[in-house]
Amino acid sequence: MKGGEDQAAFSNPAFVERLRTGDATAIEAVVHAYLPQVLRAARGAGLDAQRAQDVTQSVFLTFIQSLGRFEGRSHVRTWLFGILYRKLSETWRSVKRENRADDIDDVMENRFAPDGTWARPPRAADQATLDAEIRTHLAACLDEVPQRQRVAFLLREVDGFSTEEICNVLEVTDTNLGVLLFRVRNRLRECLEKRSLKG
Amino acid sequence: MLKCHEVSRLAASEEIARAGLWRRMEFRLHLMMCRHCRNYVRQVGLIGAAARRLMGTAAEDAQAVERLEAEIMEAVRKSDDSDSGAHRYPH
Repeated sequence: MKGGEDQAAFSNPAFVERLRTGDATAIEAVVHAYLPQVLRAARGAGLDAQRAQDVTQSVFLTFIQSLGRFEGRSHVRTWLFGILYRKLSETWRSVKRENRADDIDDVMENRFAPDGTWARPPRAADQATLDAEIRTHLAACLDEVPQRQRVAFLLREVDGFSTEEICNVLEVTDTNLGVLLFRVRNRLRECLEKRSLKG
Repeated sequence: MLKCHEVSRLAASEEIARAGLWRRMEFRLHLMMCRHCRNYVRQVGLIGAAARRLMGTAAEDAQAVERLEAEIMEAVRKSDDSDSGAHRYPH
């Protein structure tokens, strides 16, 4: 990712104005900079290769159609990923329910004694063993994670989005994002530990 | 004094990054003393690093990227030819 340079150049008011007026060179620069990242995020969200390509194309066409409304208040990447997230959400049924009580919260509570110390501490293992176990099981465990938690996790860990940027994309508060990240990380850790113990 | 329960929450939610100096010091001190919490925080970090490797190596189809870019820019050019100024693109 050329990240830094593009991020700064695309925030320039003159560039934003070129985008707003449909300047093909400016649009091409954005497409070139972010298409691989959007495609990877669509794949990361669990879509198969063909559907990820279809959604990516649709994201950019919507982006281009809506440029007249783009005011540059958020970064162009945030705007693009917001479109992607809304398109992904349309394909999910359970998003609205995800904010309610989550069984991973009970799993975590049961890990602790009433005095707040670990009752069932994380399994201790050396780095090489953990690396190998995570490599073996991570893809399968990611598939078990609710979609919105999964997107939050990947935007954070893989795409390196800031808290503010993820909150804008997912339209959540930073407290909500904290809950999503807490749940997804614990869900993945629990899944990996369980699968590793099974062998 | 922070307990393990709170330390795990501060770490996994990333709330610790926005916490005040005193809380961050308590957090660090707790990790120095508690191997279970050190294991927990290390494992959370390893999972993030593994996700970066997994997605980085996931078949990022260069041909698909090239084709999609070409298709999108073709739509932009066609629209410019047929409708200068007002931007309408097919879904």
